[in-house]
Amino acid sequence: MTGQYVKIEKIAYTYGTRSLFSDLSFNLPHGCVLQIMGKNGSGKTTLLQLISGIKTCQEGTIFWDKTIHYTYIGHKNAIKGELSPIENLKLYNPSDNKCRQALEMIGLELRHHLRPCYMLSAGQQRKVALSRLFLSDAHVWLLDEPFTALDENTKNRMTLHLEKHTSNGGSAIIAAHEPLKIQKSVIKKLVIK
Amino acid sequence: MTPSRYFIFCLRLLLRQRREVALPLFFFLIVLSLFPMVFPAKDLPSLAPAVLWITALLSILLSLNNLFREDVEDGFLTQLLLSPAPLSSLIAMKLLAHWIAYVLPLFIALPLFGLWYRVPTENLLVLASSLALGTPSLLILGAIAAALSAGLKQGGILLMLITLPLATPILLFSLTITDMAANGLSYTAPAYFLLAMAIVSASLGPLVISASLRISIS
Amino acid sequence: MIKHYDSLKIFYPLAGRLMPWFGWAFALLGIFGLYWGLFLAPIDAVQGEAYRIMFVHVPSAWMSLMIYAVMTICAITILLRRSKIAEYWLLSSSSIGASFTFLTLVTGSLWGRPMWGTWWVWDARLTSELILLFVYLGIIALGNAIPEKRKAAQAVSMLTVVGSINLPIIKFSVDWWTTLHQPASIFRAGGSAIHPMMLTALLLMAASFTCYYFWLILWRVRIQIRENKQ
Repeated sequence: MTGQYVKIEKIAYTYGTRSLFSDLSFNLPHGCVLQIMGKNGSGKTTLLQLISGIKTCQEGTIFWDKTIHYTYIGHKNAIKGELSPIENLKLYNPSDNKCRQALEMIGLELRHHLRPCYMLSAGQQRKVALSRLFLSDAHVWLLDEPFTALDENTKNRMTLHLEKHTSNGGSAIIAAHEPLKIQKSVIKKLVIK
Repeated sequence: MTPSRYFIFCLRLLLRQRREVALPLFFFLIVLSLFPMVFPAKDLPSLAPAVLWITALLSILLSLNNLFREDVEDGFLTQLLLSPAPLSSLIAMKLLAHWIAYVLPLFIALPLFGLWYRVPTENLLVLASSLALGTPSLLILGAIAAALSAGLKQGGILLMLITLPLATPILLFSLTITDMAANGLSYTAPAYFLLAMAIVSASLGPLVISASLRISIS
Repeated sequence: MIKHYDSLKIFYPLAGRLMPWFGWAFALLGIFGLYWGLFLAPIDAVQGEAYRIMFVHVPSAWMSLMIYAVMTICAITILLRRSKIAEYWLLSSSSIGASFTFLTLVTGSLWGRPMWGTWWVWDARLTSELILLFVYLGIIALGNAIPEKRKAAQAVSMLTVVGSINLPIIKFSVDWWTTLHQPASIFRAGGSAIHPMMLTALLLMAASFTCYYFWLILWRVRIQIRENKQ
């Protein structure tokens, strides 16, 4: 496992009678961004869910480096509309300060921190979801279409955070259909049909 | 995410959703008010325990409709699944919060029920203890069905169809308690049965619910 | 996966070869059993000729429970490890089990008419059987509500296992409740003093019904295997 966070060996997944992918193998080295590309319905989300362990593989194996941890942000935000961004984040980290910092890092203005999330726009809600990345010192970020509904400014901010994350030895697996603008880190691309 | 932090999170969320949380209680009160309108007053005391239990059964199952639905829809369930804390411990906390939000108010409504149905206080206490013993297993049984039907279109009605037949023993044991008490008999035997069921379901239930959720989300 | 298809490859022709045996056994045992029950078995001292409906009622009641037991075995298999055959078997069994439960209720009601003077009494056995029917219907409804076969089988397995723990408790609670509220029922098929001729007829019918179940289930599992291949 040296130098690798995840090793994926010959995995396959069939949905009903439709085979999404089969005999798929790849690694996730340290300090690397792996982009999963493919058309709508090609199985990007499923692959990410298999890697994260939400779904179980029908065939093949996924080896995680047992000493590390990871954060998964799905294409749904997993935030509760009735609660404020801070209240949502406090579930993952009890410190008010840490939560506020995380929201600032993603660029959510202070005045939005305490109002219920249903009053925020789709992009702002996405920011709340992404700010969870900064609450845990996860080695691997698993992101499903992280840039949906984000403005240019926040996309650039996220790109900078990704570059910083990889320069510290962290890695990310990102399902996204548009090319990433990351320049400073190693990008591997995986296209599934 | 730790179980205790999740418990507080659940309570806060339910407090914020208090308008929705109140609906099953309204349902409970409305259904209870229907029987005194249609039955002669002299029959009410003898009908009271059965009416109370069936109404409580339906309103609790109604409340469970939303137990996992929202978590499936907003993707929150995946965060529970991936949390380092065991899923079953988080589920146990969620159920505890749910019991406090939805079942505890039924106890508070009991004096009103006693007034409507002319049930003396000592009988109300027996009824309250039967509810206290029976509702935990009922909630857990319903939660298993809710987990299995989470994310399905007809989830609500399915939840009822699955749970009601399996809940008959809870209903019958509880009514045996009130029946025996009404006849001046000692009701420890059915009470112990309910207690045993509550203990078994509280220890195994969260594990079964976790496994069911994993199936539902796969 | 390779191993997986292999077990299906062995099962499919094997089931095909076994099916006629079960089919013929069902027919022959059924004819013998009915003849035995309707003509050879003596008339009942208390109930007269009407008791003869027992030869359908009692075996179907047995079947309603036996099929649930078989389903529980399938369910545990599915929860412990993947098995396509167990999945098909489980999903196809529930409606057969429900039919036998329904048959038990109908024949019980027919039997009850001359005995009680009414088509329905909330007697302990009939009540438990009715709840069992509802349990079966819940299982069928859940299985139908989930479009993906494998997921449906897993969810149904979970419900079946929970139900199997619950069924004895249901039986016990209903028995207890009815003894508190009603005198003991007359619905006892002779008890220990059953005539040997009656017992023979009962056993023949039970064997016939069991063969019918296996014949039907093998047929259905084979259809599902074929459908899945396409």
